[in-house]
Amino acid sequence: MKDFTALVTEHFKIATADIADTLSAKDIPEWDSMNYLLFIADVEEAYNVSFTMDEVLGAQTLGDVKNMLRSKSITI
Amino acid sequence: MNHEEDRTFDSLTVGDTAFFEQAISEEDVRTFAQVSGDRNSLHMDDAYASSTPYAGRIVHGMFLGALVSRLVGMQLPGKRALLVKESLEFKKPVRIGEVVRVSGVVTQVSVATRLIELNVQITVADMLVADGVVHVQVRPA
Repeated sequence: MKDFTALVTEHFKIATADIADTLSAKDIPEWDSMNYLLFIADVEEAYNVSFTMDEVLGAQTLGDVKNMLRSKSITI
Repeated sequence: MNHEEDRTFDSLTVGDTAFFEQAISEEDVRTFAQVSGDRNSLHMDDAYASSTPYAGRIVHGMFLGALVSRLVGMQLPGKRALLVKESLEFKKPVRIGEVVRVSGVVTQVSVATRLIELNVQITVADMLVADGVVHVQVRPA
């Protein structure tokens, strides 16, 4: 199973060392609306969780996505 | 096949399948070459292609990719499809006149994103010639 970091590097083409919870679409050129949805779908598959549309649209940063996972009792 | 299916997002579940078969004609290859501008000799020049290890012309790989577009755009899910991502690996050459079977199975459904993932396979006489994964957004209407 790919972990969160691996999914971030794969989808957003950023080095592991550069990943930070504060990163958002403003910081990541590859974070366009469709790529973000593909990322979310892969996160759901990797962690076997389902998000709501409100959760997905409300997330602004990578940290927000991590918090979405934590709200599903995922340790990350 | 001209019928356009209209599967709603809520009707789709993991394991749903669809397929069609098509004989690839000389006209198909010429039309694809014209539309795409890919007139590469391996696809269009009998004499050249016969001199290669393929011993004859082969169908454009992306013509097979276009058939995957047809699978999602006309059948699974059909009308509401928005093709977001397509990854294909071409494993064997396909020759003009051969009948390809293009099939897909839903492997993932994401309610939050309205994305579905399909594993697709293209076979000729039960031999796998290409496979891959597509992501499709199923629009509300």
